[in-house]
Amino acid sequence: MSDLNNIRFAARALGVLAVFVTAGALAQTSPTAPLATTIEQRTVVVAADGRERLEAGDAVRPGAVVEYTVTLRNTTSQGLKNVQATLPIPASTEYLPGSARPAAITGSADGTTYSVLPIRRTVKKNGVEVTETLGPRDVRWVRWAALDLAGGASATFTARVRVDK
Amino acid sequence: MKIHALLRLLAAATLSLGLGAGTAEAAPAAGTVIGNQATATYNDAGGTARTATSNLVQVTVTQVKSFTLTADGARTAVPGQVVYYPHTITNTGNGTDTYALNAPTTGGAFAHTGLVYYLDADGNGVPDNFTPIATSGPIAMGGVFRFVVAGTVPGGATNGQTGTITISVTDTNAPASTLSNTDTTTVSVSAITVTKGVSPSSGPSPNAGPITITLTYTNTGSAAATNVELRDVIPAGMTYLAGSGRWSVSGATALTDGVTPPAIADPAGITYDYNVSAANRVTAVIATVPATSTGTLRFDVSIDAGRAPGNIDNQAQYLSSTQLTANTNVASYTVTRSAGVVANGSNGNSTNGTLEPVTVASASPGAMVDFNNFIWNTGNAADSFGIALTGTGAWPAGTTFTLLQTDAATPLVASTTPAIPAYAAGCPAPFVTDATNLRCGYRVVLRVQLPTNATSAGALQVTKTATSTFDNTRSDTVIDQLGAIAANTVDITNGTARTDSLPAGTAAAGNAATTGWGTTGTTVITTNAITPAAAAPTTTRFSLYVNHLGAVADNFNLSVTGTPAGWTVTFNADGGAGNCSTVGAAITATGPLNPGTNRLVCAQVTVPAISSGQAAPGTFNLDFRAQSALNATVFDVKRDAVTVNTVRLVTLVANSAQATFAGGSVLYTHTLANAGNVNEPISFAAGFLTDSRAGWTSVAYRDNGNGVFDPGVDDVPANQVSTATAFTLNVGATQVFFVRVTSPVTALSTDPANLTRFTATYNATTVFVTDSTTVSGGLTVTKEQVLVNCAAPGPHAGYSAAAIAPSPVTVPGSCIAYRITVANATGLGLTAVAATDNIPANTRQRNSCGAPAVAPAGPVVTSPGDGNAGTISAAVGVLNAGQSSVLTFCVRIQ
Repeated sequence: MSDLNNIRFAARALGVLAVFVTAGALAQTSPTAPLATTIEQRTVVVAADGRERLEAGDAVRPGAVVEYTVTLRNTTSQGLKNVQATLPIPASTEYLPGSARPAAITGSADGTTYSVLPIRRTVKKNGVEVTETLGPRDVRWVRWAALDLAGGASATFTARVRVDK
Repeated sequence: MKIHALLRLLAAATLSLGLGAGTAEAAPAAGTVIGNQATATYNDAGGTARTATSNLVQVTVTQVKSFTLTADGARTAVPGQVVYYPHTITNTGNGTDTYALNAPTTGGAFAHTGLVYYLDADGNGVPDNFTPIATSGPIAMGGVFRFVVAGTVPGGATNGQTGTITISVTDTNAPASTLSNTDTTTVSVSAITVTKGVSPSSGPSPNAGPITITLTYTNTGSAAATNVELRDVIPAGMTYLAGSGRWSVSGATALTDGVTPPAIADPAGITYDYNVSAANRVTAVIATVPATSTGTLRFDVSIDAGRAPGNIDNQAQYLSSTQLTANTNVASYTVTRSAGVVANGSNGNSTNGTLEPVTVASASPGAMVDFNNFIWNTGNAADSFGIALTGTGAWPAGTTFTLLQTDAATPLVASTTPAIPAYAAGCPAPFVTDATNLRCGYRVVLRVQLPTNATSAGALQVTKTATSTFDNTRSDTVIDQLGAIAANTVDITNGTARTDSLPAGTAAAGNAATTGWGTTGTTVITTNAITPAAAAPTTTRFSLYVNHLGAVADNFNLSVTGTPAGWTVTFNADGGAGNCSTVGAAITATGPLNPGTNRLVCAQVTVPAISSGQAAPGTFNLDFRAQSALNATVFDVKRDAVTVNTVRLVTLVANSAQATFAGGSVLYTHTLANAGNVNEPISFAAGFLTDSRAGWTSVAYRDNGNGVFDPGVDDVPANQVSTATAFTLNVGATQVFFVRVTSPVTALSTDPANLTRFTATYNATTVFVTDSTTVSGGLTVTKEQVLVNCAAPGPHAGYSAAAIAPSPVTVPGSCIAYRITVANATGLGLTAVAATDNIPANTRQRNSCGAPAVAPAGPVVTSPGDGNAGTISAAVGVLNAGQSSVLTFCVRIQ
């Protein structure tokens, strides 16, 4: 029961507050930024006949699969180099391994170090260094391979997460 | 993606669960908002790394209902006894739900009567009150609801019979779920029942207590119960307090705890130990419990530290010589949740105030400043913390504040930290650990983007307040401080770049006096000396290194102030040698400079010719300025100087030569000019005007200003130059002098030329001009004669200047022809020339041998007439240089 309580409290973590604060006014990503970045979310619904469809909506049940689509668009006429999209895996969700498109991604547990999945790390246990393999729950960020984006071009990245159940 | 692929993914995800060190999974609460923002990093066209952030998408978790019901119970009871069976509903869904308590049913060898539910909120196994209930009321996610079902064993029940009570609970799900428990009552003549209580039943963790555990036993049977044994394993989270055991029969007398050797003996009728009969267990054996009697055994525990909020549950067991082991009710101590937060600047010490305020000493305009703040969860459960900023208004307009997650790249979603766990044998990534105070923290990065024109009078502060989302009365602040916004981000140095710039030079603080390192204001760093030229401009160059010390790429406009009139200053690219020995194209700005780099700029100063009058001697300061194109308040000025050397030069021109005739005079025109760059006083020393030959005289006049000799105007005594004459000849000015040289009448053309020297004095220096004057023949007259036949009219030949010797032909009556040649032997034209001769004595004009005539013809010839005596003359008039006129006539000797 104590675990349940924990979850109830942790769930309050998410509220909606302004992310950016400026002196005097709220700031948004400038519409004229060279790289326009948008994210969309859809719920993956599996019908009785096994077909899968994506539904827009703002409500999910625990255990639902949500697909995020990140679109990067070069708003300038000049090429942008080394364009790399990063998608955080929100709290109370878990990355579905293999769901990223393009499939070449790296993941990170700490937002700093990215490596191919599954993430392996070396820890000391009882003074002995052992390598442990982290599960999907520890993947808190996924990042796609860098690419170059020609002027006016756009690129789309998708990945799925499953809401905790 | 095809469905089977998705299923594979789901299967893989499920199989992977439990690996690694991840946090436990549990459904988020209904209404939980899952937000997400993607970020992208890229290099823009200029190669600068940039970050873009997407919009925020959110999805809300809906409710899923589920619950558990515990537990089946078993009791012994005597006929007629009321039995209570405790049950617990736990809401395992992710939202609040209400549970219906369905009517209990009974079965078995006998039927319980009077079945009814009562509330048992304190979980001690007996009703809190005797108000029947049929619903739980709303139970929050994870919440529990405790109740008892009460039933009466009928009076006709016999020893050994068993009867059951079945209870069921239904939730509000659609379709509804129903769970049931079955309680079994066994009839016994001696019937021990034990209930367990905890007091106080809730509090914080840790709690020194004492928390009193009370086991109340009752024999409801008709015979005494023997060897009644109470067993209570102390649950995790509680610690037994030694010597706290008390029995109601022995009152305040402490029980022994069973330690060996015993300090005291247990009172008669009970043996009591802790951690002896079984590990971590209180064990008491009471020899006899008489029928219908009751008693208590109690002991104290404390609550351990670090317990998560929730219940510490425990059941005791009891048995007797005639009863099998049975459980008491579940007694719980509820660890209350506490929230707490410390915000500081330490990644390993959650003590408030550690490394506060978080300070960045200095930043340049346009710089991006990251403040690392650590939010420590000092509560006893995972909690997230909203971050609010205050004091941002005092920062320069346009400053942007962005809260980032621990990766310093991803925006902090909804300005709220992830749930920071309570310390539990460590803290999972990406959280930081305070191993001393056993707390977990989270790094929040406040990224401050300063505008490119940012300035500040002093330190700038922003206060960050972290507030628990569980208990918004719990908050803590940490101050992020920027010590200063660096005022100067550009520095001009002379001749060499700064050591801390690329490409590096040698300019540093120690040689600021010669390199202009740093802010040098009005101190002259470099002085170039030049000597201006008379008629052409002169240039000199300064090698200026513009060192960009700011944090963002910038372009610096170049300008200069203090340029004297007529001078020009241009900025040029270096010609390639790296020292401005040659220069390239003219520039007005450095062009884009990356932070920490520099550019050599050649400042070319052009001093005009002296003749312009704008090349005066002296030292002229030039303030070279490099000013940020992004922020006009960012600039550096370095003062250099040009020293114009003094040039003293007065000229007097020109030597010339003329010819005159004896007694004549010539006029020479001379110009005194100041070709230097200072005004010169002009004077004339004694002997300033000399003639080389005796008898010659000369006089000098100062022109009246028009440069042309005006007879009667310029050659007046007032203008005559003397030793008293003095004036100042300004730069570039001229003064004309006229020198009249007069030859003596005795001068001969064969004499050497007279040299007239005219000398002027300036600045103790003399300049002179020499005029060479010669005497020419002037107008020469040659008279020749020849004896002619008086009847021959001529022209005659054989004229000679020689005398005619007396001879028979010179007798009276003979004729003589004369030829007078007037020739202009000077270099000048002569006017009003007249040739005049007298008819010699003793002769008379005789026209038969040649009438008076002049050649070339033209001039009028006057004569006394044929046979007369007198003067013959010809008005020749103009006779140009080298021309001659010939007068002829004839006479007869009387």
